[in-house]
Parts: sequence; C-alpha cells; structure tokens
Amino acid sequence: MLELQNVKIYQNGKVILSVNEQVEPGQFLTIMGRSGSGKSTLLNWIAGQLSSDFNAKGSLILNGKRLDNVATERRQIGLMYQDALLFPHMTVEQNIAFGMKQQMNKKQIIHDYLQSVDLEGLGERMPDSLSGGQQSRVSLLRLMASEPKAILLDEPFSNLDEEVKITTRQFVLDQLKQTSVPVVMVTHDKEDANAVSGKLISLNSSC
Amino acid sequence: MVLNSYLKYVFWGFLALFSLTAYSQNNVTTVYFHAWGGSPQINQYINWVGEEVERNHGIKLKHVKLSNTSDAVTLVLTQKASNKTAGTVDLIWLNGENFASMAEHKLLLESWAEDLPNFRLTNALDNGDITYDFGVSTLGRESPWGRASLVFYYNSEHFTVPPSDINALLAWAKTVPYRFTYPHVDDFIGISFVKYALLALNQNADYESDKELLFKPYDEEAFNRVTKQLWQYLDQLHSVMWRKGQFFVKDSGWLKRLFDDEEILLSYTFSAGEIPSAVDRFELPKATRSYFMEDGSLSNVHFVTIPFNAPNAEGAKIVANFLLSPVAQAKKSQPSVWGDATVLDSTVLNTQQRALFLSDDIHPSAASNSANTRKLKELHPTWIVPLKQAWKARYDN
Amino acid sequence: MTINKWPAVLLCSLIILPALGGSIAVVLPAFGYLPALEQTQFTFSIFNQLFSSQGFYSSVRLTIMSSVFSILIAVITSLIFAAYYYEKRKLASLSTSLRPLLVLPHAAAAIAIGFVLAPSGILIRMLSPDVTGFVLPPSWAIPNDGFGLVMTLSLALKEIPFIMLLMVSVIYQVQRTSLFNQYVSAAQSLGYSAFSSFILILWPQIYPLIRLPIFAVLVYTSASIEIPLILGPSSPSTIAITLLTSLNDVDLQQRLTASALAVVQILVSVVSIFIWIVIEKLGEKSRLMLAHPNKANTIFAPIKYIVRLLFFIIVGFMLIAFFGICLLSIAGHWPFKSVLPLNFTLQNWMSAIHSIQTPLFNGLWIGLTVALVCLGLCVTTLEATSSSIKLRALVTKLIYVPLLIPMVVFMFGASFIVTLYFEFSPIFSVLLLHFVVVAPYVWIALVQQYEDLDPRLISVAKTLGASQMKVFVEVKLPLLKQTFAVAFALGASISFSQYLPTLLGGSGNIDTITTEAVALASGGSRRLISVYSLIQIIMPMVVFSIANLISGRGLLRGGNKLA
Repeated sequence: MLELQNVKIYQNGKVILSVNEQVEPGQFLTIMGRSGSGKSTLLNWIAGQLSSDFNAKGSLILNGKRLDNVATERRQIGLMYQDALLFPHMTVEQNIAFGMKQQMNKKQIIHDYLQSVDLEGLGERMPDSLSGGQQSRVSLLRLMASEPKAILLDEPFSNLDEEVKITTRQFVLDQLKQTSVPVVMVTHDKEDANAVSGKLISLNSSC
Repeated sequence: MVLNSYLKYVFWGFLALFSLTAYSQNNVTTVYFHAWGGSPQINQYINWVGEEVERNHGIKLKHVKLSNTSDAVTLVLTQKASNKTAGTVDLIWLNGENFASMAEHKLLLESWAEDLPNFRLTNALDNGDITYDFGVSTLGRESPWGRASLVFYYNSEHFTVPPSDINALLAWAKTVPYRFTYPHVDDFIGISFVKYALLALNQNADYESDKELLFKPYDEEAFNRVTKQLWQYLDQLHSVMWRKGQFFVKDSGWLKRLFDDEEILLSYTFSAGEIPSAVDRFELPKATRSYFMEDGSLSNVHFVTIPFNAPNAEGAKIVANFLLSPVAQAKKSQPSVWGDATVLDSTVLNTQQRALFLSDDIHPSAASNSANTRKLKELHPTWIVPLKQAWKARYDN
Repeated sequence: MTINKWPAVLLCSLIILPALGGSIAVVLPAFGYLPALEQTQFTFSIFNQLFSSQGFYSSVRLTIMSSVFSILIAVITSLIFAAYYYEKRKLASLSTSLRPLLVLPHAAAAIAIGFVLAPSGILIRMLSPDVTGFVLPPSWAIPNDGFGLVMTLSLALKEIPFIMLLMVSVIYQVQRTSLFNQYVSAAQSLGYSAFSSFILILWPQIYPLIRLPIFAVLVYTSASIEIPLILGPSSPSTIAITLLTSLNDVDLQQRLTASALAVVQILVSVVSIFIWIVIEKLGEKSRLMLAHPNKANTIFAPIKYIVRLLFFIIVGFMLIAFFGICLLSIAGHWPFKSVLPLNFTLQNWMSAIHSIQTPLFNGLWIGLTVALVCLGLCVTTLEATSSSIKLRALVTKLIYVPLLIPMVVFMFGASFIVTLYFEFSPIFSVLLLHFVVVAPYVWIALVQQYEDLDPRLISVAKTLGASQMKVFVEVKLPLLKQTFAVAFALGASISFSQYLPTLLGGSGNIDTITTEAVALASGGSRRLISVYSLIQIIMPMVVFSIANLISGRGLLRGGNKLA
C-alpha cells in the first residue's frame, strides 16, 4: 500500500498542491488538473526526484516503510512518462533487461514478455525503428520487468495517436491491474480516468 | 555516492603514480647543459659530446635547448631567490653580459676552471682573452670553449665585390639599397654590429686616447664624443637599409633566413664555420661567400660556466674538461661540424694533438682571408647598456 | 552533501589558486617588492619610469587596437559565414572540419602565414619573375608593418574557427535547433531573407551565450605572443612581448619593469573588454535600425556574394600556407626566382626523427595524462553536481578565471610557487601547470552536452533501480562517448602546444616538441622549423582521429551533433 501522508508541495513559499491519500495494491489514484498545477511535481516527489525549485512536506510510506530519505534507485517505484524514453543506444531486449533484478534466464523471460505483447522477435531492434505504440509497450515491459512495488504514470498516453491511444491504454491498464501494486496516474484526459477504478482527485491551481 | 569514491581512488592513484615516477627520475650522473639550441649543427655536436662523456665517464649529458641564454640566468636567479638549495642547472654556455650579470649577483661556482686538467692547453699566460670575458676577469669561474670572430657573407650571384670596411659598407648600401640589415640591439648579434661599427669608426679617431677609452669603464663624456660619428653613420645607413630601418629582426636566425630568401644580400655572423655548413644544408644559397672585414673583426671567447647551486658540479667539471680536450676542440673546429675556432694554443700541443686539427676541407663559401684578420677586442661591458639605450632612444619609434 | 562538493572544490582550487596566486606573485614586484633583488620598499617609481619610457603609449595603443579589431573581424566574419551556411545546412560540417585548426599552435600558424605573405614568400615566388618582373624580393613593408595590420588579420584568422565552433555548439543544442528553424521560417514569412533573419533574430540569441568565451578570446589575443612576435612590428611591439623581453633581460633590475608591464597587461585586457562592450552597444543599436525587411535585405544582399569569395580566399590561403610549409620541409636550395625548390632532400626529416624521440614521448605522455586527469576530474564534478545546478553553474563561471588572466601574467608567478612546493618532481609541476590551462577547455567541451542529455532518461533509469554508477556507465557514458572523446582529444592537443608551462614547470629540463620548436625558431634553420611545425600540426590530428575511431565515428567524419 502506498500512503501519501499530509503531503504539501511548495513553490516560492506558496503551497501549490496538497494531498493526503492512500492507495491500495491493485488500485489506481488518478489525479487530474490543468498544466502547471503541480501534478507532475507530485510524481517527481514520490519518485524521489523533486527539483530544487520546489519544497515538500509530508511523508511517503510504501508497504509500511518510510521512503522520505531513501534514494530514488532504492525506492522500487516505477515511473512512466508520456514519451517512451527508451534508451536510444540499447536494443529492445537490453532496455527491458535494464531494471531486471534476476540474472538467470533473462533472455527467456524477455522473450516471453515480448510475446505477450505481440512484439515477438523484435528483441534485437533499436528503439528508433519501432512505432510509437510499440515503443510504449516496450516501455511498459521495461517498467514491469523491474518488479516495482508502486507505479507512477505521468500522462502516459497523451503523445499517442487517437487509434493507438485506445488500444494502448486498454492494454497498459489491464497489465497494471494484474500486477496488483498501487498506481498513481496523472492525466488531463477524462477517458484515462474513466478507464480505471479507484479514487479521482481533481486539482485546482490553488489549494 | 559510490561513483565519487571510485573516481576519487583513481584520481589519487594517478597522483601517486606520478610522484613515484618523479622520484625515480633524479639521476645523479646526469649533467644538465643549458645551451642555445637554435643551430641544428651545434646541437648535433653537443649530442656527440654527450655520447663521448657517456662512453668515457658514464655521464648522461642532457642538452637543454635555450632560445635565449638569459633564460638560464633567470632560472638560477629565481632558484637563489627562493632559497632552496637544490638547483637544476649544471652547466651554461655563455659569455659577455650574461656572464657579467651572473658574476655580479654571485650566481657562479668559484675558482674551478683553472684546475681542469686540460686548462693548461689554453696557455692562458700568453693568451689574455682566455681569462677575460668582455673585459671582466673570469677568476676561474668559467672555462673557455671556443673563439668567435665577426665574419661577413654576401650573395655572389648578385655582385662580386663586397665592401671591405665599415665606410665601404655604407657606400655599398647606397648603391645596392635595402639589401642589408642587422638585428635589434637587444639581440647579441645586433649589438655586435653596432659595437663593430663603433670600434671601426674610431680606428682613426682624432684623440688617440679615445680608442683606449672603449676598453675602460664607461664615462659619459667619452661616450658622447666617441659615439657622435656612430650615430651619423647609422643615420645614413638606416635610410638605405632593408625596410629603411623601420623594422629590425629579432635574432640572428631571422637575419639568416632573410639572406636565404634573398631579401638581403649582405649579412654577418660570429661563427665562420656556420656558413659553409649552412650552404651544405641548403640553408644559405650556393653563391654565398664569406670574408673578414679589413678594418678588423670583433672577436671574443665564449665559455661554459657552472652555477653555484649545480646539482652535479663534479659531472659538469668533467664535461667542461672534455670540451677542452684536443679531440673535442679539433672536431668542433671542422667546418663540416661547427667551424668554431679553438681556444687551445697550438704551441703547447704535442705533434699528435696538433695533427687532429689539420683538415683539407676548403669550401667555396668559407672565408679565405682569416689569417690576415685583425682581431678587434670587445668593449668594456659597462658601455653596453648605455650604448643600447642610446640606440633605442634614437631608433625605436 | 559535503561529500558531493569535493570534486567541484578540488577542480576550482586547482585551477584558480595557481592563476590568482601566480598573478599576485608577478604583480607585487611592480610595486617595488622583490626580496631576491633586495627590494622591499613599496613604491610607484617603477610605474613612473615605465609610463615615461619611450614607445610605451604606442605599445599600449597597438595592443588594444589589434586585439579589439582582430576579434571584431573574426566575429563579423564568423557571423556572415554562419548566416550563409546555416541556410545551406552546411554549417555544422563546416565547423567540424575547421576543428583541427583550433589546436594549431600559434607559432606554426604565424610561420605559415609569414611564409605566404612575405615579399620573399611563396605567393610572390610563384608569380616571379614572370608576372611581377621581380628578380629579387620587393622591398615591401609587410609583414611586420608598422600599423600591425598583418598581425591583426592573422590574429583574426586564427580565432575564426574557434568562434564558429562556439556558435555551432549553441545553435545545434538539442532543444534549440528546431526552435531556431521556426524563428527563421517565421521571419521569412515576414519578408526577411534567411540570411537577414539569421543576423537579426538568431544572432541576438546566440551572442549572450557565447559572450564569456569571447571575452576570454579577447583577453587571450591581447596578450598573445607568437603572432605579434613573428608578424608584428618591432617598435613598438605589444605589451606582452615587451614583458617577455624584460623578463629575459640580463639586467636583472628589469624584472621589476616586467612586473609593472604585467599589471599594464591586465589593465590593457580590461580596457579591451570595455571597448568591446561599447561595440556591443553599437551593434545593438544598428540591429534595431535594420529592423525592416527591405532595409535589412538590401544591406545584407551584397554581403552574401562576398561570403563565398571570402571563404575561398581564406581556405585557399590556408592551403597555400600548408603546401608551402610542406615544400619547405623537404626543400634543398630555393632561390627566389624559382617557383619550386631546385632540389629536394629528406635530411631535415631524418634529422628531426632522430632528435624527436624524447620530446615526442614527453609531449605525448604529458598530454595524454593531463587530458585523462582533466576528463576524470571534470566528469566526477559533473556527476557530483547532478543535483545542484547552482553549483555547476558556479563552476562554469569560475572555470573562466585562468582564461581571463593572460597566461604571460600568471604563469611565471604560478610556476615559481609550484616549483617551490614540488621541487622533488619537475614532472608533477609541469602536469599541474598544464592542468590549470587545459581543464577549463575540457570542462567547457563537456558541460553543455552533459546538460543536454534528457534528464528524464536518467530519472527513468533511476526508477528502474540503477545506482549513480550504473546510470553513468550504462546510460550516460555510451550516449556521451563522442563528447568525452572530443574533450579528451582537445585537452591533449592543448597540452601538446603549451610552451611556458612546460618550460617553467620543468625548469627547462623537460623538452617537448613545442619547446624544441621554439628553441629552433631562434636559429636560422627554417626548413627544420617547418618540419617541427608539421609535426605540431599532425599530432592533434592524430589524437582527434584516434578519439573519433574509439568513439565509433570513423576517422574524420563530421556530423550534425557537435559531439
């Protein structure tokens, strides 16, 4: 379970966002709001990547452990952006393997992953030779291969074409539900919010 | 921050590595010889010297090539100023002002030259210039190495009769304008021309005693009298000189290149042997011919000296002694090697030693009238600075 | 967070302390304080003497005018080249091919230029006697003309590749490229030609970002030595040359005058910067006056035509100079009236090969070591400042300190201090002094590309559990391979061409190709000097090619990214 206890985010001394929520495993917390309302900043804070322009107060607790002072790389919280952000110099397979903890049978596991998303045989390809939708799927696989304990989505489908968006959204959200970890999703698209179950928070620019 | 620690170790590791290599460098049997490095032939000769002293005495001679001898003077002075006992210079090739300056600031090792085994071959008693450097007594602080005399050379393809004395030079320059120059007086070669002109013009001075004054310490009144003719001469010469005397090249190397480029057709140097070998190396035109002026040739002896803080003074003395050996002196005097005249007196050499000096090379570019040359003694060193300053006041725009 | 600060602190101290300390050590004697010569009274008499000395003011005037004008010419030329070739999309490759010229030692460049422009130079030789009728070289007053025109133009020529490189690195920064394209399109739709839009719209955005490096170039040029020495007038000469002459003077009292000259040199550099700022303002005003499409296009149209001409002249000049030097290195006798040498010989190359072993080895390993250490420390600092942008920005500003103080001013003092403490190891002193002058360039070559890396890639990598080390080795390093390689090659090349740090740090006992070349330059063997110049030109090219190969870019390939 992911707990955001009395979290307040400040910019230039002013509170721009205030949240106090819990997210059960397998559940979604959807945060909607206009651009600039600080929702991406919240995700950054959860991931441990708060930029120095901001300050934050409050606690982050994941599965009973306080993560306030833990470095990003040890939080086991995955993050997915609107761009797939695959490492351009690595193959699809290497990308997926990047965060994998287990050393044995990597190739087989990755092969299975690719198969499960209809991308079988693309392991040796470079990211720039894949379509947007394909890249998204690989990005998700990469995320899931690292077995995160919580997942953050930052407007994950906003850069995709209409057609691709619907299928990709369906696919991604299904996969995430199956992982049974808490998910926090930030979006400005109502359809995204409708596709998931869980709490919806709407942010105004001043709280 | 694992990355930082890792890189930190690598970095310190490197530093440790250099320090180690640094310690291993201090080699007791190396002699650092600071000598002008502008002439490839001289550099090669010094190289040969290095091979010989390594073979015979196990000394590694390191030629530190200077572009200005005063660099070495600065170095020793700085070391003295910082009060650290460790010096880095063992042997310096110099004479004249550089020697006078080091002597004045007590930068030299005292009284060692006359104890060298080969020193007696110079027959110092009969040869006054061996123990006097531009009029300053050496007091055993420097060991003689070679003799230099001002020799002129011209491009015979463009004219056949070169000027034979200072006045003829001016007359010549008027008929063949813009084809002669001399370096700026801050350069040793440059000031030497001015000294030659001063001495030559005063040969027939009104006051007999004026001639002698030039070898005594500076006196302002005498200076003004004696240089009057000089400035009149130079005023005229500059107007028909290369670039009309508006620009002076910086050093002798530049002067030589001008001659090679045929921008000038008459030039001069201290090292007579340099000319034939330069022609052979294609650095001067084939038609180059050299000769000594009839009104005299400015001559001096050049020396090697040891600084007071030389790390390997003993090694330096061995090298200096070798430089004085008949073998080394003979080789040095060969035109194909360096052509620098010897400081040894043939009257004290035995037959074998004398034979080393015989050579058949008669090069078309070599000066032929050396036997008849009058040697002009150098001015007293106290005249140099006033002379330079007066020249600069008149001619530096 | 103190652990993270140490690389930045170390880097900055190693660079700033010698530069500042050296400057102070050199400047103090100017006020009368030099214990070595028994002077301990503070006084202004040395300055009085200097100011009333002959030719002082003309020397100051020459120095300031030549540095300001040469950089002005270089900037304007670079600007019009950039405007022209940007439109043709050839700008990046042009700049990359100019890169080797950056590290060409000034002395070699001066010798090459001199050989083309002299009355007995290769150009006139080729035209004589057939075209010109000259049997002997004409008695013209160039180079070394009294106004310093040749010197100014040569300084400008030498700095053009650097300024173009600065511009290109700004223009082709990842986020900026498409933005700039859009600006130009927008301007074109308003009626401005592409050329005009570059100058009126892009340039004002580029300039603030390259202002500081241009100041550094201005300072460097105002204190430059080799080009004024070889191609400039002799009296007056520039302040820097008079400074060096005083330092080499046998009359040791001249050391005090030298220090006074060092102070003057600093002031001259500052004045040059002030004048430059005035010029900036004038430029700004004229830009506003031209803010009308027709006006701008009319004024700039003729300039477009001369760009190609100018380009051909410059490239042609460089090729002739290079060709001339190559010929000289194998030339036998070469009378003025012959276009080509009468005979050829390999003796100079053989003689050089025989004597360069030690200097080449020294120069190489000093250069490679310094470049490696610089790269290591700079990368460590970049990594350590990942989370503090402010600290990194501070370092980027401080790194300019040794670039804004003329080397001729601080190096003597710095080497004095360094050799004092590191007496046991001349090599270490040399390495340290080289580090001071090389590290700023390595940092500048790295920092922008480093910051250009998409930070989100790094975020993603971290969320996937990668430690800082893993992020560096598996993500940053592969993506920045070329940047690192170029920075390394640049650092090594700059080290190869250093003279004063090697000479002073090693007390003359450590020789490199550069120190050998300078010693030879005072002799008359121009052919041998040409050989050494060619070696000095080849060394950086080889290092850059190896760097390109290792980073997987092929031997000489250019490319759009300035990596």
